[in-house]
Amino acid sequence: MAKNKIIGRPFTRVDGRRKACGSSVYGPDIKMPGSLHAKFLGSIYPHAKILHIDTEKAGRLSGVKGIITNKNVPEVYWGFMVKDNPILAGDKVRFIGEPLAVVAATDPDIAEEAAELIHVEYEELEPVFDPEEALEPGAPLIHEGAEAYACTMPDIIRYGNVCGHTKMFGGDLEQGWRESDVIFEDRFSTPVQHHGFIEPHAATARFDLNGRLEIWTPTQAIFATRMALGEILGLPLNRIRVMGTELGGGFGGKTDITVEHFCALLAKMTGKPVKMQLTRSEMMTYTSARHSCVIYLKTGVKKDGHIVACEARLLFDTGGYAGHGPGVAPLGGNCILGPYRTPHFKIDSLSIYTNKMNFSFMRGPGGIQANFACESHIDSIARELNFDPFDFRMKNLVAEGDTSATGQRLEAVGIKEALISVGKMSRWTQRKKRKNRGWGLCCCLYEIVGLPSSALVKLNEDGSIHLVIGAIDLGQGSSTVLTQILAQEMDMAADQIAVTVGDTDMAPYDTGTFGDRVTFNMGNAVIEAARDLKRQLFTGAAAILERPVENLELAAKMILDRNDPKKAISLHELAMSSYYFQGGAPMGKSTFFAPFPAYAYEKVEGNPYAATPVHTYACQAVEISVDKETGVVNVETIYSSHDVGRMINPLGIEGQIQGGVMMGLGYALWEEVVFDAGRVINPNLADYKMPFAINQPEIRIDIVETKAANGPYGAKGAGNPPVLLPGAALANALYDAVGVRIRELPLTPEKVLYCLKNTGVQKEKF
Amino acid sequence: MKKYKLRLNINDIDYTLKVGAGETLLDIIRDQLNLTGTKKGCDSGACGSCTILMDGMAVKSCLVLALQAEGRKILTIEGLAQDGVLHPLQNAFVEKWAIQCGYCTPGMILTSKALLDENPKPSEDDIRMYLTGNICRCTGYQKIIDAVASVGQLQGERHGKK
Amino acid sequence: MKDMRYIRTASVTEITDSLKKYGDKAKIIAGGQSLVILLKQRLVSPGGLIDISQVNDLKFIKKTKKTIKIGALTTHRDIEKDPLIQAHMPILVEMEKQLASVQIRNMGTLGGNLCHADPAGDLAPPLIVMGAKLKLISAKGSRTVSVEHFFRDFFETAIQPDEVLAEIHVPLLPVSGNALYIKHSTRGVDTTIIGVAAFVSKDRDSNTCKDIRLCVGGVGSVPIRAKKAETAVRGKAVSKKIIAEAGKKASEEIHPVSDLQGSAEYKKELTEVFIKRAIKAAWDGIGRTNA
Repeated sequence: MAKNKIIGRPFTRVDGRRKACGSSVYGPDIKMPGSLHAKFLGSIYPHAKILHIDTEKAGRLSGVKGIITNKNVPEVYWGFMVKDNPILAGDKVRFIGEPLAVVAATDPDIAEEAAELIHVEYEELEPVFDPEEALEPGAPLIHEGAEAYACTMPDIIRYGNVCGHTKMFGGDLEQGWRESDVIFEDRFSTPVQHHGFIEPHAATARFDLNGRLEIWTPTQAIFATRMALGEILGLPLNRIRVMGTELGGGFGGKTDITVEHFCALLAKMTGKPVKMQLTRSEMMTYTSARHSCVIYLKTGVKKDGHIVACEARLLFDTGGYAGHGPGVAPLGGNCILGPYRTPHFKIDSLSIYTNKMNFSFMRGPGGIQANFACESHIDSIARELNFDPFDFRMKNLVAEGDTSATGQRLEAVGIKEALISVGKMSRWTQRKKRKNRGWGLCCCLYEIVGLPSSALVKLNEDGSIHLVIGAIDLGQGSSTVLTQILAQEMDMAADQIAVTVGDTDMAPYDTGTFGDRVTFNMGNAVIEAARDLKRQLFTGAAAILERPVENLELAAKMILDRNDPKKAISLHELAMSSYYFQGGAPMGKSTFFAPFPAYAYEKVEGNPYAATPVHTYACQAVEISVDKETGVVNVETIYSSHDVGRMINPLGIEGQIQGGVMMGLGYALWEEVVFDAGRVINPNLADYKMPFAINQPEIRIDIVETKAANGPYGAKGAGNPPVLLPGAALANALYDAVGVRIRELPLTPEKVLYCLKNTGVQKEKF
Repeated sequence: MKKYKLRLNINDIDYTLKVGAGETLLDIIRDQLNLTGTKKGCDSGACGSCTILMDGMAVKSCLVLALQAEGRKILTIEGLAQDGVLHPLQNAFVEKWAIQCGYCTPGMILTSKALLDENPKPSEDDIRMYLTGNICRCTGYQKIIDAVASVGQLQGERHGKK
Repeated sequence: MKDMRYIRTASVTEITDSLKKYGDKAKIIAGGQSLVILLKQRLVSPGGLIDISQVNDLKFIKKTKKTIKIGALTTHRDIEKDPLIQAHMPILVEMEKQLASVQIRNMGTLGGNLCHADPAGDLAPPLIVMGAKLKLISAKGSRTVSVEHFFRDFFETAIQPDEVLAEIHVPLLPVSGNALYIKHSTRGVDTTIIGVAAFVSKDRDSNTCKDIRLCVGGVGSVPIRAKKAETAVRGKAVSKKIIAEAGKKASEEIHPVSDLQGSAEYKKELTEVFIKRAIKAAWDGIGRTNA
């Protein structure tokens, strides 16, 4: 293999120029002549029977070309894990804003006017908004007949208003309590966070003259989108082409279909292309957001600071439909113990229906909620026992060979190095106690998603190469990283490599871009595909040059005998020769699937994410000051250290960390989708507060490279852990600064001020 | 819809269009002129992805009625590069990884251009304050600040060298 | 948005003629930064728009012996950058730097801001404590209203359907006086939760407070003069104790409502804090900040 010149070095974004010139085509930018525009009518009640929908008046409006309701669409239920979602609400609605009808018209204003002319008769049902209330006997049942729903994965435990119950244990909890010197109990809660991508959902669908569906949409998972459309329209997959457009931010919120099926059904009905683009208000009331969560933790420790036992109960509010709840809950349960040895534990993590919109994966799903609870809890314990928070964590850290909450062996464990690094960067041992200023620490353990990714590497006639993949680049830079990998493997410059992404007609199967999976899974696939291509090329070259394969090497688009460099053939000649004479067109291919590592099967139930190819680790310290008169927390500096396995592109990794930290900061301090009796009351970007440039504190970053054995060049993933950390880091710093412990995010100034003025009062819910 | 005549210059080209009173500058740029580099993100003046320069001033085109741009000179992102040569800001954004998903990028670059045209050597605080009207969800801002500051310094140096 | 008629005006006469003709069937549009949002949300649906943005006669900043006169179409950005304002009324410059964003300030006008009458608006409290007045013009003539009495209710002013706000007259600060504005919001440059403007002047002989005017935005349906707080300070030596009393009185005399920005109790607490900070900073700045 060529000497490493590229991995770990900065590499210019391959899509940078077109993005800087405004030439990238995103979902909203797609235009088709003769397109109709679609708008939907959403439910005005959170929980109600639908008695009657009358579209007659709407249908007579000039310019209206088609209307779909539950009555004229297939009776198909879809869903990521539990197929509980009808195409359009039929017998009842389960959240305010749930689509009841969609209108296609010659322009969006007419479609909207028509939607308002649709008359709906409801019979209100008693709603339930609190997941804990939804668990109580006698609570309104949101999905009657849920047993009939199919699931996409086995082993999802469902009952009542629970659509996913993950259970895990280790050791013997009762023994754990007996061995503990002190037991601590806490309750935590976290809010709903809006994904906040700037690009709205926008799809355009049309049927060609052969009855084949073509759809352009900014999706994170083109094959999952195709599969869902296939089921909904009753079409075999080869009659559907999904083209993922450039994507203006995903963070998990563009993994499921949102408008694609409406466009497709209306395109079928009208015979015209149909475009549907959501407004920001619709995005914040109909499409998904991050699950809110209530977490109960009970931890037993010895006086010497060793953690002995932990009982955790996580209650995720998944809204009116399961969405990704049965995946988020286990992801949270998997990391609720943090990166700490816990000999005896019992974890229950539930995904619970309520009458709010469907919630979904959002960067660091399950983990951001769990980590806030775990790390605030650990910090409180450390202080109660008079340990420095750094020392307490260090004492309990997991190491290589320990096991996770699911009993999987931990490998490439970089948490100790990350903690030490943060200690050094922040000069933790030299920090001084100053008035109204404080320091907080936070560690995390998280996981990446495995599942298959495929890559196809084609050699062009002139010796340049083409990578064809399904994995969309959300902006995190995957196309650039994969180009780097190819540049390394094939000893080529970036301009000799092109990447085509996101077309189900062309790309081989890929699971999608979420869960920090692309660098790891697709990176491995690309390496293998490149090596497959090289094997074909070497075989062909060996025959032509009449030299043994072992003597050959690839450099600067030439294959040559390293002992006799005059014996060489260019890739161009090799390509042409292969078409006519031997081998056939050189194409390297690979599907990479990391086999699920073993875990404690008999101790885990209802956990689709029980095994991960590899865990990721990170640590953060923050320094803050507090204005005690107003409760405002000012973040001075953030020190963050991340075990990414191996850094392929330093600028990309930094960008992921900086962006993730700011998203986590927003979650910790300012962001909350606010509900009032099931209605979102701040569905706009003025009242929903995402951070501005002026809110960004200094962020100092260090990278730990543990070189995962199964990662491409040792790389793991970097996108999720950064968001997990700021919540607890800030809550811990707040306690350090002014003695206020808040167990509910966001840490608003009003909550801080309340606690400052009411010392000794433990407020469970603000 | 009642239509009114609108004359304006966009990226050095004069246009005469027919627009309704309620149509925004953003809508006519994207829909009538098919210049989709200017983005619609929130359509309510919060995200800044619709920012264009009007007579050199950064404005949010979703909050400007098209008819109010009568006689004005508009610059959209498509008009920034000249004969295929990128503006220093565009180069800096690419080089410094100040772009991730790219959706906020056109607005960010144009707002930054307005800043540097007014203040060739801005401090980091100046840059952050000036970019308050442009939200980025991906980068966490630091690399955007780095990109603008690098061009600022360059300009400042050239300014000093004369 | 609903289909509308569009009328472009080029002079004050054309504005008043159009207003006379269309009355309350048409809305004036200046910078549009508030109105366009209302139109999109369909909170207003006028039959027509009277565009006054190109009436150059209403764009000026002039100093007379005792006042600065500002044309209502002066933008926020014009104020921020104007040398006269920077020299004589830095309170307005500081307020503008934290208002919305550069893009909004480039288009938004002072007249538009005042007529929109957002009770948390940043422009009104400073103008109120400086005793500013507004000149309203109609086809029938003109009249003057103090900014303080211009606001009637949430998003409602004393302006009549046939009137246009033409000019803002701001008295110069006395030599022994100073004015300051503190804005409190979630993210810094953001929707204001509480805004407090303070004007204080010093009696140099007795070193006591000669006059004080305090105005709080965001705690009522209109900006509120904290008169009881003023009484606690006026004529007295400005000590820590007096300032604390003023803060307390201010928080008692306002009656905010709980909303997304915060609970009523929290807004009262913030009012107390920022009244104290504003009085102290304004007092300490006398003789240092104005020309």
